[in-house]
Amino acid sequence: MNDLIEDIRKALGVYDGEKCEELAKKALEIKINPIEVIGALRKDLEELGKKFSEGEVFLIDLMGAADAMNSALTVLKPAIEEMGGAEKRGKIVIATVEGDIHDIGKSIVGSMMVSAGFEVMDLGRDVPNEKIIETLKKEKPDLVGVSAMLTTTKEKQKELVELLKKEGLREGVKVMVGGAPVTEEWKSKIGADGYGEDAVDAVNVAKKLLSL
Amino acid sequence: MRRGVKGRGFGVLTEEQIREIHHGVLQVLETKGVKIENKDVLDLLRENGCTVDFEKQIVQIPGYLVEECIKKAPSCIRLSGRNKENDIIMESGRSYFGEGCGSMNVLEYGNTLRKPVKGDLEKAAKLGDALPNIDHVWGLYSLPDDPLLGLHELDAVISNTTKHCCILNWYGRDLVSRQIEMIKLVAGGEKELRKKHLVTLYSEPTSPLIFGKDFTEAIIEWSNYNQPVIWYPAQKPGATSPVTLAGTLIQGFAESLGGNVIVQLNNPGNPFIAGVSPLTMDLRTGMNTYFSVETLLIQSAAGQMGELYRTPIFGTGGCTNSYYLDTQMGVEAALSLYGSAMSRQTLIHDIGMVGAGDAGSLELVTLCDELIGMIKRVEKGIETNEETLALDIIEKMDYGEDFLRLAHTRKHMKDEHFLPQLLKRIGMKDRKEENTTISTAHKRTEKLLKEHEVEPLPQDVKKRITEIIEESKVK
Repeated sequence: MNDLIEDIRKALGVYDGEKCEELAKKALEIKINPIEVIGALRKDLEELGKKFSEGEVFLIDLMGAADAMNSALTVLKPAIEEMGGAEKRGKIVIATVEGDIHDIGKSIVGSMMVSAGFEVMDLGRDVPNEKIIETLKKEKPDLVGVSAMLTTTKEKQKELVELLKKEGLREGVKVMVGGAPVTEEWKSKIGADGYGEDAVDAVNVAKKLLSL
Repeated sequence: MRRGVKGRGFGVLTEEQIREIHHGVLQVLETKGVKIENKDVLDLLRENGCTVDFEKQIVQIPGYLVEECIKKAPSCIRLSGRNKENDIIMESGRSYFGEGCGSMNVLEYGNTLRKPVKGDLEKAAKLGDALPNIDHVWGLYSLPDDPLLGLHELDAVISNTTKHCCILNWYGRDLVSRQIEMIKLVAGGEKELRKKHLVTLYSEPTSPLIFGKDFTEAIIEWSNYNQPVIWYPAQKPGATSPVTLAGTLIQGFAESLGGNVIVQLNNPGNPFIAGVSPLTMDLRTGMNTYFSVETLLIQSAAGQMGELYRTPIFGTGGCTNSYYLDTQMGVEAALSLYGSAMSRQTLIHDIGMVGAGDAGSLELVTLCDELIGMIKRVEKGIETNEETLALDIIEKMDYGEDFLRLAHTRKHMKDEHFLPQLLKRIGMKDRKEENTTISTAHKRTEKLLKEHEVEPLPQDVKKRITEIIEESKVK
């Protein structure tokens, strides 16, 4: 068993998503505890995240590692849920708002959140608020983060907060906003909980909001 | 007419490489295609020989159409100012300089940051009008919380300069049509609007290879009125384009020329300014940059592609990653400005942008005005004629005699030597804060803003423009 966990950790270490996926499947086959596998990978990823903040590891490495992690997670998730879920680290839903197709910033945030140990569901770009609400009802995340690149589309962030209130969901989820035209003032103005100036900042704010 | 600068052409690519990149561009457009989120445009492209997947919104543009449209794009465009003497001629090889746009903070002289108000855009425009080496005027700042930003930006710029104007913001057909209305008023009618090109619009694809709905609508609407457009991919190598510079150039120019196809099919002969952004992302951290060494390489290559296509090329220079009026600012603004001019980029913008686009500095704009003066001197080169070879002067002088007193020296000094006002040379005894370049730039900025007078818009035009803005608010 240790061999497989060693191997999958090695695969993560060289950002080999395909290998991670393959070994994750093998883990299920030979009945290795998937929570232990993910636990080991999460620790390595957190270590990587620390090195990133110290400038020793680059963003592109982190993104590669997060991708590899996601490959393993996709395979192991159903088994983990069957066992009652893994250690609660925080579940986050992220999206670029409706009418906006810029998502490189959000993608970077997503990967960094994965490295920080969060479970991240990325809804993609041009996502209507209705879809976000639907997802929130189904997935019950701890935090939702929405990104807007244009001065016009950031209005959708305001609408989301209002919709959450209307649906009685506001209290149950933390809301973060981000993107080029977004500011701390805008976050306060629309009644969101957090704003990250860049991806690193976003992760720190998320951690604080979820008391982690 | 303003003459701009004829760049020397610092070309990093060989002829062979230029061809390779162009072939790559054609291949991407023909085989991979672009995603265009606009049904009208998809129809237009289908009607003109493109393969369109309407469901996925993907268009493959055949090479012959790309090249036909390159030919249709005018090689020589006159961009006008309210004062005809400020007209500029866009043609490859000639460079014109302008400020940046869209920054959300004012970097003040004391290195503090604050939020901009409309008055800041007006000041930026006025400064651009006053500075002798600024050729086209932009607003430098943004008003991100104002839904009528596009109208305010246009109003601020066109009211405070008689040079050619450029704007960043539109968003939505409704706003664009009001902007057209405003420009029509200044031009003096529909016919004049189409002939005179008073305002250029900036728009962009979303890399990699997506032409967003609103952005595409903007260039369609703008070209419906024969107005000049810039279509400028802002791909970040390694993030939204291949990490390699050659791959970035291919993708970028595919996006740029894809935009040209749309514009030329919509309005054959519409003024179009091509190019690719030379700005990169720091892949160590994910921070966007407003200068890197790669910037210099991409600028150079983009200028060369512009020579091949004989279209004007949009350029970036006079900007910095620094959030302070400091060494980094000086280095990066100078290198990027010099690089863009030497690369023969045509419409060079972003002067005054600091903090990698987060803020704008009027002092930096003023400093860049002097840098452009220096660039112009480099462009002038070294004149060789009887007078300048000075053989008879050398002959006449006694061994060891000084040249300071000569009429020849007095006669040629101003032509041969650039006389900087800001980058001063002072002695030890005059070494004090108030004599630093940035302090002098600040004083010059203040003086110009105080003393410079811009010919105002005719009263009835200004009144109607203000009404249009008010009417838009009511909505």
